Amino acid sequence: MELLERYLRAVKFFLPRRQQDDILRELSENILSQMEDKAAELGRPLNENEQAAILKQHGHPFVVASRFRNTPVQYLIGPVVFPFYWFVLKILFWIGVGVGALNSVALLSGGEPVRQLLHGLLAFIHVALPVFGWVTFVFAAHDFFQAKFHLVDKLNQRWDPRSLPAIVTPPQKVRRSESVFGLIGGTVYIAWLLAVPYHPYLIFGPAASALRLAPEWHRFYPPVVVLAIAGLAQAVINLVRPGWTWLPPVTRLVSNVAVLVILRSILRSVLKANSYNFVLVADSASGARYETVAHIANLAIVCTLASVALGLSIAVIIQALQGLKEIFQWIRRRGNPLPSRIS
Amino acid sequence: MTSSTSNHELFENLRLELRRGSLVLAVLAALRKEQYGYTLRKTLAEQGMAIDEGTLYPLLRRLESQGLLSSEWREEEKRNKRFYRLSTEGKVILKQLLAEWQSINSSLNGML
Repeated sequence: MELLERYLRAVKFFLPRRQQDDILRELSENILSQMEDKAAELGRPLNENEQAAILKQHGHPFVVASRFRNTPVQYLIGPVVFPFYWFVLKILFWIGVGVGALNSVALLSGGEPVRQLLHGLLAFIHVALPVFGWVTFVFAAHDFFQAKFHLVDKLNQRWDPRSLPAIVTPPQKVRRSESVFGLIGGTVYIAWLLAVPYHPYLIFGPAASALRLAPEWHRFYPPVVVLAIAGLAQAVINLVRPGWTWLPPVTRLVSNVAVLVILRSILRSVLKANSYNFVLVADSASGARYETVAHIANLAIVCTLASVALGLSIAVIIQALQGLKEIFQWIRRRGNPLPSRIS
Repeated sequence: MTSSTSNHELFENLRLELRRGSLVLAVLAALRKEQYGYTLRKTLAEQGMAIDEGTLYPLLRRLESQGLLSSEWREEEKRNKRFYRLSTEGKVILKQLLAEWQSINSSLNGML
């Protein structure tokens, strides 16, 4: 019965200390009875394989011992909170993927090698794991306090169905007024953009005679004009096809990604040159008076561009999610022109 | 995974879930007569309520800690064995559970 002793010793290791002897005594008796029954049936003592078969039937020592534990089932994150936890993880994952994708686009546009992309992927993992850990920690703590103070029960008692949010029906058409406004605004913007090179007054106002834009701007001028035209084209298309609700968010997304790429290129050249001369003094005769104005303007432009880049990065992620949602709804509407009231 | 395999698995899970609820009732009913773990398991198996050791022995201890069973170590065939039997409180609970089970049974029979 050496095998049985080895088995019991292994079970003992995983048992609660106070109950070890009692449980093992009973378990040993039950297994011995079973083995004796089997031996009586065969008319001979059991060999090692037959003993092993009976022990295997009882289960792995760890599993057997775990069944004798009286502690309730323990969760790090319980079933009530788990769907929210999973939802948050998924959102953060897609945000991470979005930021990573933006970074990749920017790296490729900047002529960086593929090695940089691999570094980006490693950086993503490097950031994702601690985020995963912290989110898990926060939810586990939340679950712990929730169980301790019976928060779910309290929530269930206070809950009022009338406090549920109203159903918002997704727009099935782009509003005509929205398209008309886009058309007018876009036309004025393009006209302004096209006029600026010939009339610096439109940017500098009264200082136009003394200030001028640095030559770097000329590099970014054509793409900015193209983007403005794309926005105008979207307004025109939606006037004709108001049902294409996916077009505005997709256009905004593409435009913002393009703007981000342009901004990144500008900011990189600023960092590389270690100077930020966007606005230059045109007339040296005007002297130090306009030097100060140009310096303040350049500083303001750098700060604005950096803030816009940050804001746009966040906007692009949100717009990417909205765009996907819009496309999904548009496809669903095409397959089911009469949407049910509850979907 | 094929559809028949997943259906079989689903059925197995539901079957186990259904039987799990009846196990306590079966154990309490069988322990109206004193028995020790191994013979109880054999009795249940003979009655068509086979239950594996890993489930039965912890269940006996849990029912005892809830006061529904009482146990004592006694020598039988030159070996010490732990004998279980239904406690007074266990008898009351068994009666209530049987009434509940019969009510469920009759409701289901009415629906089927």
